[in-house]
Amino acid sequence: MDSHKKESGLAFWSISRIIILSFALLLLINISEALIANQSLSQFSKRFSDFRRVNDDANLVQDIDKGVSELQRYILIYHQTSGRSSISQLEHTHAQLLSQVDRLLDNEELPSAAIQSLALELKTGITRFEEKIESLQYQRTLRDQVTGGELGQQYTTLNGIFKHLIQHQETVTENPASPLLWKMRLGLLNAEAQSSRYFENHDYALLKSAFKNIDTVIADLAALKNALNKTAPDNLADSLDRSLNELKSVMHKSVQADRSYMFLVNVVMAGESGELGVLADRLKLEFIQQQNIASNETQAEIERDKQQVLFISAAAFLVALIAAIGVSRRIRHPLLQITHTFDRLIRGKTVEEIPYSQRHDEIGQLAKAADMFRKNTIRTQKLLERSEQQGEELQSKTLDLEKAVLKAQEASEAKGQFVASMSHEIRTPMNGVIGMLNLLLKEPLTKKQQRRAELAQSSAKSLLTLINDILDFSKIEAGKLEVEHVTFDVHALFDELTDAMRPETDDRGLSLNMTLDAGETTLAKGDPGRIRQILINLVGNAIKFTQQGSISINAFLSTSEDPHKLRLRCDVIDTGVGISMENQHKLFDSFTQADSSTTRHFGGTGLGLSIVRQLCQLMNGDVSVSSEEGKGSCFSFDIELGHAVKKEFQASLQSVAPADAKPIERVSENRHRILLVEDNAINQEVVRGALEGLDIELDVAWNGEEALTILTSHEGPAYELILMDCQMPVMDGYSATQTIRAFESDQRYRDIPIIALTANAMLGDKENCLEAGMNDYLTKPIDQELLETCLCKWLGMKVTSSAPRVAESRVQTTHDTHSEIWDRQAALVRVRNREERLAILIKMFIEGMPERIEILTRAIDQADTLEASKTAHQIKGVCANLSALELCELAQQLEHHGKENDIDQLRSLLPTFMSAYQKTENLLALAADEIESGLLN
Amino acid sequence: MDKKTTRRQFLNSSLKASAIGLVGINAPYVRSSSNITLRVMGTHVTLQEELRQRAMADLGIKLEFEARGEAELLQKATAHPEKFDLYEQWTDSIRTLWQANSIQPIETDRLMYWDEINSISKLGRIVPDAPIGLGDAPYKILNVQDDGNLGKEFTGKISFLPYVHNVDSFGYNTDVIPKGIPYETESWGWLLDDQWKGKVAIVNAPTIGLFDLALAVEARGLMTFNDMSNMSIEEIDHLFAILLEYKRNNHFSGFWNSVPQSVDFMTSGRAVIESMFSPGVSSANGKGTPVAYAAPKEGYRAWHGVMCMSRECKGSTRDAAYEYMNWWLSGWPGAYIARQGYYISNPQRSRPLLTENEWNYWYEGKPTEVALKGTDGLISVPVGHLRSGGSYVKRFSNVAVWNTVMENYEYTLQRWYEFLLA
Repeated sequence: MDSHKKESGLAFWSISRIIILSFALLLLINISEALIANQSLSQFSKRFSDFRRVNDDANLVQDIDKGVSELQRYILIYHQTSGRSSISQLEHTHAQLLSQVDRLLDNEELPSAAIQSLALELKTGITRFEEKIESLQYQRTLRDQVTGGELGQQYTTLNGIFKHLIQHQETVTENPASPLLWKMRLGLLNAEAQSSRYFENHDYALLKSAFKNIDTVIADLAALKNALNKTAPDNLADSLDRSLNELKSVMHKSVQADRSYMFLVNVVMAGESGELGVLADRLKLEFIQQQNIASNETQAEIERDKQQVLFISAAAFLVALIAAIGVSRRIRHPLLQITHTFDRLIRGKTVEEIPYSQRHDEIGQLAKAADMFRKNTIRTQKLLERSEQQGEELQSKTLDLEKAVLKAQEASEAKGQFVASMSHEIRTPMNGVIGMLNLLLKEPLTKKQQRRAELAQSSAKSLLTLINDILDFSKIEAGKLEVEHVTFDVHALFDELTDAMRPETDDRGLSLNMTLDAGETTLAKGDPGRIRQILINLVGNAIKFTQQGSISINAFLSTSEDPHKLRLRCDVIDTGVGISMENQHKLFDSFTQADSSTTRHFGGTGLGLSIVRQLCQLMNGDVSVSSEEGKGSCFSFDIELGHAVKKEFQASLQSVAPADAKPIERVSENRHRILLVEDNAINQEVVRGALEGLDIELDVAWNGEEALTILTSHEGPAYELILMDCQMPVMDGYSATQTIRAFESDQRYRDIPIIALTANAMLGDKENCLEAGMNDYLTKPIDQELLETCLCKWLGMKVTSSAPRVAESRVQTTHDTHSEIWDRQAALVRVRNREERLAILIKMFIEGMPERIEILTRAIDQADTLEASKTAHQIKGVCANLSALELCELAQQLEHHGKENDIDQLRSLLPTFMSAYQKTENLLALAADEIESGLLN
Repeated sequence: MDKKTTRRQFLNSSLKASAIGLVGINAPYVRSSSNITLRVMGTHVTLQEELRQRAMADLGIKLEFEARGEAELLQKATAHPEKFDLYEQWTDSIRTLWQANSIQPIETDRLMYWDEINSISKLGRIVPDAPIGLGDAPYKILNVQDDGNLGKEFTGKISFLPYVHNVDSFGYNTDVIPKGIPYETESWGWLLDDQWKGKVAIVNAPTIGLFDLALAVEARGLMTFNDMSNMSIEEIDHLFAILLEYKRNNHFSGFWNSVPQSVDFMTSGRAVIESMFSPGVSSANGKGTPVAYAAPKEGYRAWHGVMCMSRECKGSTRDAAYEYMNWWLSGWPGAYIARQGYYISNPQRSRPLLTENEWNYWYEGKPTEVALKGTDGLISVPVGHLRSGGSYVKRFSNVAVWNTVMENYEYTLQRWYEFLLA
């Protein structure tokens, strides 16, 4: 900070610092304000929802309270009217009340324990009340029956008897019973009136006199009987006696029924409904209290938040004010002054002295700048005049240049087109030549013929290399060369390359050394083909220009700053002729060799190093050379690679594996019929030759149209596959494919596999083919191996050579004794006795297994039996393909224990498995080495 | 069934039982071997689980207890006599039950301890100089007269078995209301003291609660009655006019329907003074609310428990019912309920089953020298404590009124309704 201060010459309290500080402070205040607001809002929202819930419940409680009142009201209405509708209303209200209380109790958290217990009490009370409603009806009906019906009936009967007696007496003259009869009848009438009044107002005195009247009537009965004895029929007096006693009993019954009913309504139901009312009231109060508490808490919170916000706002205001005053005093005024000065300067007026030039902050700098400006203004004016003049000249030159560029671009494009089509035109006949030479070399030849044919083949290959170089170069020039990004094994790449170059160095008596320091990295992501191309070029050159001594390839793979990237640096050092300093810098130009005499002596296009440089640059790197004439050269290139994840590689390995690892021993029973569409007779022959010995019947069409005709009208078994040339007269391969895919008449071939055969090696050709509906793609010249693999793939696993190559173990040595560990013979049979394939399988095993073993041991270590079982299953599959019997058996056991979830067994078996794995790997590695050296020999 | 038959049956049963060694020498009741279920309907006061278990064990019969509130109970009993065998409540329910023809007479011949039953239920007073008290003293309604009515004359048939009885007053929370002096300052008038407004509860039973309130009104000098146990319509109207005024001023916090409810009222603070029964007072104290049971200077409201037999109780069930009644007077139950503050009609039979301290405290009104435990096993009486109101004799010499069904009972029912829902 000190050095910075000195450098800029700014005071500590510079304007920018003040402004930043002020704004930071304001920002801080703002953030805290926002935080508080946010917090209080969320709190408020929680409160609000709590409040609303309590409110909902409170409404429910209001309803309950109302319901209780309704209950009481309907009891009263029923009491008054004894109507059916009021009882059903009563029942309805009761049921509703019960459901309301249940709803309240359904609430998971009622605001308080008091409310909970009140609600429970209320529920108990309401539940019990149901029984009372039932009793109410029963008691009421009983009361009405007795006091209304029975009692009334009894009085009516008695009245009837008296009436009858009186009528009877009137018929008889001189009756002494008449006044007594009238007295008794009056007493009865009085009793009836008194009892009916009693049931209205329940004055016990009335009941008492009613009973007294009845008792008097009963007392008079004896006298009446005496008087009547002579005249009235006996039974009338007897029935009077009976009825009067019955009346007394009914009177008692009525009083009791009335009492029971009144007791129920006035004490039991009133008491319980009153208690329900009290409970409902208390519940209501309790809720109001809860609401008040919630409301008060919310109020208090809001008040607190308000104060906080107010305080912070006041602070913010204060800070803003201080900042504004500070800024105004320290900035606004001086700025105005300096602006004024600048204004004067701009208007060309003389300024004697710039104000504030002594200050050590931004204003001071501004003042100094103003001073500078003043000095520069004069100079600038002069320069301006000159540059205007030059501008005009420049414009006319630019126009010329644009025209020239346009012309050059046209020429370049024309050249690109020419080279592309040239290379295509050349590759087609080359395909023919190489193919024919291959076929020729298969036939029995004299030594001389053999040698000449081999020379012709060699020349043809050189020519093809040259063409490919030119093609690459033209692609690069056209910007069409693209670099792939695939995962590959760096070690394998270098090993393979060294192995491939070794025959040549050996031939020339040179030693070839390769070192690769890749640390722990084995996998990388990049374009292995292009890296190989670079290496072949550099190593090829080295071999070419080295008469004796050695060639060393020293590669170094290192991590880069970017964790996803790696850098590969590689020196190719030879002890050859060397290159003079003056030639070194021209080396990488196109069509240039160190010296023109070189071309004569060593051959070559001079394109190689140029392509190398372009490729290196495409891979974010470069190539360089250091050399001393007569002592040797060192070509170094370094490129960027991607970090590869192991799994990806594993996956890519596996995706390749099935084609080779599938048991291929199943021999087809039918020959496969395929159609070749090819306009070139030589190419037809090449394909025919390549398919020779396979169980394939080949028909040929000369162009697309003919192919369509054959497909729609042929006889015999259907075609299973089409090999399609792309560029043909009459109808090309693309159109033919599209037509086949759109076949309406003959749907058999709509999905037939179509493999493109094309010399179009330019980028994008493959896409064109696939877009047209073809399934796969082979380039010419046709590689027999690739063709076979491709046919295997598309015809299923059925293709098999009827004349299997006899590879009867050139290297079969000691391993048969290990057949219990690895049954080499069985494995060999599985790959049709092709040892190079076996070597590939072994290589895949050696490369892929360590990771699986690691997964397995980790899974067992972590007791992940499922993962262990899964991995063991994979290992078992790989081992079975290779006939690695012991390991296969152990893997199967592991898989079994994993499925059984038996971690102890897994753990105890693991060491045995590991030692078996070690043995198997050693055996396989040994065998692979032998096969490879055998193949090379 | 005459006396002889009963004795013979009893002897027979006893002999049989002794022969197979089932009956202990001290067990004076019959152990029934049948699978009879006796349905007893009553209040929480006497229908206690421990009594049920003990009775079932002693008698070898099955007992079903159905405990309900006073009002509900009576309503059910008068409407459905077929739904119970024995009915346990108070003397104030007797007239109602009898007139409703829900119960049948009990033969004193079949009651083993009839002779031991003391004079309160037989003659109306515990000692000759005690006042009888207003209202239906038990002896007035005990005997079934020859004309089918209930009266004083002994006929050998009674409407109920006299057993549990006590005097009631009101309880008050001494945390709130300062402790008064028994028979001197403690007064029914406290129930209507404005100081306790909103904290006063009354039992919801007009035959009981109305007297508590009438005593309170009279104690406060708000009105007087010609005969409190038999009020006229005008008196009732006047009384309710006063009470409704209090009710409208929210003087009352509730009307309880059962003893546990009265305890809840007191312990929850809903009431600080209320009509109470003795076990309610014990229970509230046991729960930590200090409740004093007043000995009002105006005198107690007395009650007498009745055990009645349903009209529908017949045959072997009736035999079992008699066994159960005899069991009740056999000593143990009397001692058991003594610890809850109730008196039994033949206390001398229970005396040997009580400790001296217990007898002295509960019956003699003397301070206890040890802490006494209630039937729940908790200390209910601390050392040195004196029973409020004093001895059995002292308390029953201060009866103001017996729980009674008045002539104008139906009219009070109407007014009670208004009072409850005012």
